[in-house]
Amino acid sequence: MRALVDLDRRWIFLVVFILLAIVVIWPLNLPVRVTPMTQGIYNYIENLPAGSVLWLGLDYGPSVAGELNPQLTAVVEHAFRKNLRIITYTMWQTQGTIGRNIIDKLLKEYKKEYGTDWVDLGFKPGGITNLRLMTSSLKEAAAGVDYQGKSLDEFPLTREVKALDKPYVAFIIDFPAGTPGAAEYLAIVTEVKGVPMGVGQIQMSVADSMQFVHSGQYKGMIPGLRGAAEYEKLIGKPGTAVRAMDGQTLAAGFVGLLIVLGNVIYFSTRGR
Amino acid sequence: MRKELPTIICILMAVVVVVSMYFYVPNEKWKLMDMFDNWYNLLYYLAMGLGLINLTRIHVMAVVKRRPNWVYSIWLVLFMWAYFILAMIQTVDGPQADWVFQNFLTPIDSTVFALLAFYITSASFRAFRARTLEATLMLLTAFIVLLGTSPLGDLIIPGWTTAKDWILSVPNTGGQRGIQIGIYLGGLAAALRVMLGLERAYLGGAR
Repeated sequence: MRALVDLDRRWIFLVVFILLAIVVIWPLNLPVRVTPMTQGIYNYIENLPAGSVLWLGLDYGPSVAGELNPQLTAVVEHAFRKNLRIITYTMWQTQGTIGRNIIDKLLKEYKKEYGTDWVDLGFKPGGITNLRLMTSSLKEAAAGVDYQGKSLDEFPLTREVKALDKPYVAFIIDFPAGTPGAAEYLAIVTEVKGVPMGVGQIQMSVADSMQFVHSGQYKGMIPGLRGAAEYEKLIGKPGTAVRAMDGQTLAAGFVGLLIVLGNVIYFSTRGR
Repeated sequence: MRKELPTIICILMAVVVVVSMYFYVPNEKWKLMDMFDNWYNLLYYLAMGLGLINLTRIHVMAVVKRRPNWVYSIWLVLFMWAYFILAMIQTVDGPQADWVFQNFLTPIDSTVFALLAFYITSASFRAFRARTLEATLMLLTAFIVLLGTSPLGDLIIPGWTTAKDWILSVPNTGGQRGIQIGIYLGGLAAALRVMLGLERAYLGGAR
């Protein structure tokens, strides 16, 4: 027992590393049950008529890309299958080309066209204030250009969509890693303009967002990596998230085991 | 007028923003809010520029005066200006600027965040103890939610995810709402103090 109390934490790091490496080599393919939150987003997109505009807020940076990239991939794939059109916008300058590279790849795969099926406004400074301006005039808030600096008048999609408002935008999904993010969309766009929204959340923020799912203000929520795996299951294309869930499962199991072991040691050595 | 004028401007701006957010004002007829938003954006750009100059000044002084860890200041100034100039020449989406982002910032950011998994695992072994009733409740909750976020919970006991969902939906939602309402009421009170000119700390100290 003494040896466990004095255990060098580097042994724990090593076990975590081995566990994560094992599933990369030998996937476990554990079953994932779809939760109503993820189903809510899926159903909303599924019921949108072809040609509807889906607004995606890519408000995250590289740190949480491991969780949110698989969510974004699954949602965009679903949207392209349903022939929806997409506008992307980020309030986070650290978003860079993370989301764009994903959508660009799927755009080619589904033989869609930039400007008609997707326009990326890129990063525009101003945060919440600029988001509010988006609800009045897309052109003004985006300084009239997309991420490449090309005029929004060049693209059929942004010639038609004048603002982040009804009837132009049918549904919003924000993928936030913090503020500004989904809570700002909810307060400024959904509550004021009535455009329905959902959220693709990192696991750490799921507890914060639950209240808005229950109130019906979010039509659904994709919770973390597990949510991404659920969405991949729903669209019938298991991918990165389903594979990564194996690693998360083993790591969670190991953490659970350590919690129990730590407490057994604590109670057995308490009086000594 | 050093304090009165900024206070009057603040009150006027606050009234316009509050009226436009709390009452329906057709935007086509009243473009004032859009104008303010544009002003804010302009100030944002200016603040970024000011930050760049200020950061350079602080770190150049750190190097000149050989303050502790001054070597890092050289790296900061060097990378900041190199990337700034590169982005000015070809925009942040240019091939080289994007290469720097993809190959420097992205792996560093991801790695730092990924390291959390190792530290949390180690901390769970050393710090998560059922010492008191409150600590025990927190421990049990964390244990259920942790295993519930992966398929493992349902594999151990069928219905584990349901227990996790209940914790998130009932006690968590109730607690979150209570905290949020408190925060927003506090924020509203603070905003009212600024709008009424009672709170003037943002104007800076008196000389």
